[in-house]
Amino acid sequence: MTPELDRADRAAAVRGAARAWRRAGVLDDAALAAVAARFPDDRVRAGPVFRLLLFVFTLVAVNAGFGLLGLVTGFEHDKAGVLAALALASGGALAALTEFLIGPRRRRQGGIEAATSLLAAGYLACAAAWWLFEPLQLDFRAGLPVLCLIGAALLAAAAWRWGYPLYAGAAAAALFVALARLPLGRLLWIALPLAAAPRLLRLSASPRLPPAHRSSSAAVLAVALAGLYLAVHVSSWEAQWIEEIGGRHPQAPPHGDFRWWLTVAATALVPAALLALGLRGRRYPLLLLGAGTAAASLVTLRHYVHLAPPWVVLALAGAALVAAVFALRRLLESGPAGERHGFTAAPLFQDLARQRLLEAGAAVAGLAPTARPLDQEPKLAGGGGEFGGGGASGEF
Amino acid sequence: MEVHFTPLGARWPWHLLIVAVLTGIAAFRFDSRVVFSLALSTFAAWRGVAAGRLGAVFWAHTAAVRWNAIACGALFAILGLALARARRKAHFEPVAVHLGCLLVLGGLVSGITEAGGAGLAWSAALLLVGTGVAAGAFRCRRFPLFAFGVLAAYVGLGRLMIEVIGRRDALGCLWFAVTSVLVILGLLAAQRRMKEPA
Repeated sequence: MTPELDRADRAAAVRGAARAWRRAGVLDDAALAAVAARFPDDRVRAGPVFRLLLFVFTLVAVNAGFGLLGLVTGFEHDKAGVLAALALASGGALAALTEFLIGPRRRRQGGIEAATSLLAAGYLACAAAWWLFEPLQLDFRAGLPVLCLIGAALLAAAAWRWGYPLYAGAAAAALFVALARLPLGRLLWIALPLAAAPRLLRLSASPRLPPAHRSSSAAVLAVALAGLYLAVHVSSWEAQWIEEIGGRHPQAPPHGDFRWWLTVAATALVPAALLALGLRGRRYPLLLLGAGTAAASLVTLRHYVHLAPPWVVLALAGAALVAAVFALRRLLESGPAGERHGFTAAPLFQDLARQRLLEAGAAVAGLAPTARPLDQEPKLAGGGGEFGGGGASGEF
Repeated sequence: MEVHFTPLGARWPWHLLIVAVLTGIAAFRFDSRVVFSLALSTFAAWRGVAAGRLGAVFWAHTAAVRWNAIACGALFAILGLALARARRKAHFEPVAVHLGCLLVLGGLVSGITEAGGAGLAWSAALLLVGTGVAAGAFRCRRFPLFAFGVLAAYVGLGRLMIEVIGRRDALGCLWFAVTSVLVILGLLAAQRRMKEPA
């Protein structure tokens, strides 16, 4: 990242925190204005909705333009090399355009430069894929890990240069897929996260790094720990998921041997360790990962230990979770100043309006019941099927 | 409980309406937008629309589902506006209006895949409704609704143009490349007017 971009990101982080503090009532308007004056914004930014729209339409424009170029150059199957060369040139041009937009044009969080950066990496990866599978004549088994490594390198470079944490996470995921092709893939999936996690944890909070690189470290950490959990998970061991990702199809290992019991223990211990580390260090990503993996481990437990029918387990688990939330909330609120050991149930400096709308959206997406099939219930047509009136079709 | 014990028998879909009413009452009683969103989505499920899987609505070929999606969406949007106007739980309004718009536009999008004149009619309707939603959202500075409207109008217009362009691929690519750039320029101009906080 350029020093100018680093400074702009740091200033944006300070302004963002000040706005959140203002919403929470910690700062007044005068203090907020003083922070804005002390850390001015020299970037061209767009709000989240315009950012999304500009991102989408840039994707459409560039891909349509590329399609037009391909058609003009007379793309056919035997001229795939022309298209690959075009992808290589387009990828380079898009990378240069991204540099121009983020550098001299000072765009940040603007949507367009995010789309051009993504397309640059995508087109370069496509050109690399053609090079691997056509001139080098690599088969899929041999070519895929090399392509994953190239993709990881491109994404890591984009994350490092332009500061996109998502690319860093994707680069880590591509690296893990490449590692799975190696003979000791599962071992690498376990050893690498264990070796890298402490350093990534430090980097994700290091004030020396630009904010975007801190977030990138956190994204790589999240992917690495998810990979670790997948590698030690008992179902993953039984079904040999890592080896399947690696393109090998080994026989299922024996059930109940020493290694199986090791994976059983690890399936239980990894979430507990993540939760403990998150609680001890007040690290939100670790808490989230710990909660997610704990839920996955509990579902796994249900798979192996049949205590009751699924509907009973679901109902009891839901009730237990609700009870636990209320108990935790009551415990935290009853502490001195509504706080215990640095934890509080109060919302901290968050945009509550946006958060609540997101919660409502998530509730609809995740909890909305399955719709009744209108075309399979003739008996109920009189009660519910009249809706829609004359506009409905004959089958209705 | 309904699935397991089936107390309503063949009339099982009514449990969706009962749950919708109960969760609606709970939402108002406990002032919860999350529960209100569940009440709306359960009501939509009673009408045969899976609000949690709008993608399924887009490609649903059942006219009944489409019309129900549009009707539910319109009802939700009107409900949201009425709540805001009456100043009763006005903070529920975005949930109802956003879900309503998504259902209406999703229902219209599902129609554009139909062959012949019906597909064109649905596309024209999508273009008109999308433009109207975008224009209204632009005036009221409602950013998510603006996005819904712009995307819907572009999809509707694109579908109509595909009908005109036919199998001339180069012309299709040219259309999408040029119009996307024009939309980007329009968005940059609109962004300056609407001033969405970054």
